[in-house]
Amino acid sequence: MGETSSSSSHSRQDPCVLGGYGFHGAMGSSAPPANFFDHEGTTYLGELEEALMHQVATLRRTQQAATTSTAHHGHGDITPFPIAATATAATATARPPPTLDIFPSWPMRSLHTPKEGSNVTADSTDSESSSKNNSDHKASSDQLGATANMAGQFDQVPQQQQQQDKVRQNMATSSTQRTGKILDPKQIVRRLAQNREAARKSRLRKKAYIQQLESSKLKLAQMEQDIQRARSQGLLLGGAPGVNTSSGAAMFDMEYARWLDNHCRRIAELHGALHVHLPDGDLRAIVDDTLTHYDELFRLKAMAAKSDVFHLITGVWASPAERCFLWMGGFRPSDLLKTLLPQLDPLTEQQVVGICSLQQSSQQAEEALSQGLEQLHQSLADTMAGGSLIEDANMSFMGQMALALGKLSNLEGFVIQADNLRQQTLHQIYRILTVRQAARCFLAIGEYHNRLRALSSLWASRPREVLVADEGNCGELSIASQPAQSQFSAF
Amino acid sequence: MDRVTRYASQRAVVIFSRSSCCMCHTVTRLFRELGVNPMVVELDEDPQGNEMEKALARLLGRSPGVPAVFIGSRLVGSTDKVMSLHLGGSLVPMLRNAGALWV
Repeated sequence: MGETSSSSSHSRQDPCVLGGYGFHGAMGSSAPPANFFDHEGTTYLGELEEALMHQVATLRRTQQAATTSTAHHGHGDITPFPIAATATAATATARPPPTLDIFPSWPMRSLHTPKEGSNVTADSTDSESSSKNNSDHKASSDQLGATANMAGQFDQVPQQQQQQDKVRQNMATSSTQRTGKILDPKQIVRRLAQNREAARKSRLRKKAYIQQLESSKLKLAQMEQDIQRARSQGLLLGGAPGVNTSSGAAMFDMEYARWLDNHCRRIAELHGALHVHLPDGDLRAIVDDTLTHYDELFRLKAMAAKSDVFHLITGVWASPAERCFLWMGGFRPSDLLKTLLPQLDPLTEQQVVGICSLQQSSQQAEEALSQGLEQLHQSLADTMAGGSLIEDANMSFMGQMALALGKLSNLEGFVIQADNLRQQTLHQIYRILTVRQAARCFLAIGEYHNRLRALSSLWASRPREVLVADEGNCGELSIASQPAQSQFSAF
Repeated sequence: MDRVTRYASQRAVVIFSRSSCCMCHTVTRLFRELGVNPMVVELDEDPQGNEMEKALARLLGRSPGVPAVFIGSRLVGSTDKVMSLHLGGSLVPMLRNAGALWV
């Protein structure tokens, strides 16, 4: 190993290069290190060290070659990169990557001299200080200087200190034995057995790791399936943020989900309070809380309208069935009142009149808003179609886009006004009704939307086979075996 | 500002608007639905429209200054105020008081 002596300075760098990819395979595995080093490890490491030395030598050779060539600028295919890069490049082109050679498929018996005796003694040696002295003594020679660096490299891998010392002393002792001792046949057999054992253990570890990977893969596939199913059922409102979801939309989805959770809790509270016939004072507190919670929703929606109005207005955040009834980014107040009126009996005549006029006012306001939105649509369409759609009119394109952008910004105003309408409707209901009636009213509203969400889930999970409609089962909702059509023949 | 007040006192219901503003169209539409015949001042067709809008914006405390609704020469507010009043049931009495409605 004469080459190693010539440039001992490089040896400081090379282990770092090699350590990066050379050692991780051996050291980074999850195998129990104790076993490894105590029994098979010693011989395995000895061969490892051999191979490493080999590679170090070749690397240095090519490095030197690269250095000289870079200096002379003689070779056309070597451009003035930094030396390390050239070295690696040269190495890569000159021979297969060092990693492949570091773990030779056969034990490098030809280079090996018997160290069994010394290994055994090394194993049995307890004192770390003596081994340290040993390795220090050997470090004087260049050959072992590199070895010590290699051993030092082992230090960087998180192993137990004792094992590191053992390795070091094994390295040191094994190198002294390298020069010309004849292999003892019994020791050969023993070493072969140890190698087989090491290989077997390595195979078992690999198998265990692969099994772990497989099970993780299965778990992952299953989780993805679950998410898909949940999303289709509208449980994940609006789905997980996709490529096209803006951050404002994603944030609103998240906040809405939280709001919905809190809302369901409040509805349950209302239900419980009505059931136990809580005194009006306590009931009022709960009802006030529910109303405030609705105000919170409208505040969230107003914020979302400013950041992503399309997200609100297309109703991606709502469940499919709710989306079906969507009007300007939410429920239509007059429709809600129409639904609620029969549920709120008994009502005084004054209250009935109040609710009816509220419904009418809301209807007029809704109509006005719808008309305004219609005008916006028309104006936008005119702008988009401005000039000629057929002839090439890219001169005015940006101008038209700018105009259209300005008009689009009005969309926010409509959603916000519609939400204002919803909020006012709820507040007016609260004013018209008594505490108990208001509690029942909010309960009804909550339950109604709950049912719409449940309908969305059921719809998403209905059986999709196309079968002949079974007329005899009108209206029965037996999902498992009935064809899809019969479930809805009642409508 | 004087121009604004002058306009506002001309009729029972005066709506300051812009012809391109869709929300103004909404408000005007609502009053017409109620049977009112509001006077609509299109600021983009008035030579001093921009100043008037600035004055209205200051009055309303927000920008843009349209739509701005005056009932009985008094400023009522913008869209949300009008809608809230209507749902609360107080818009129609106000209109009646101002003589804009005879129903």
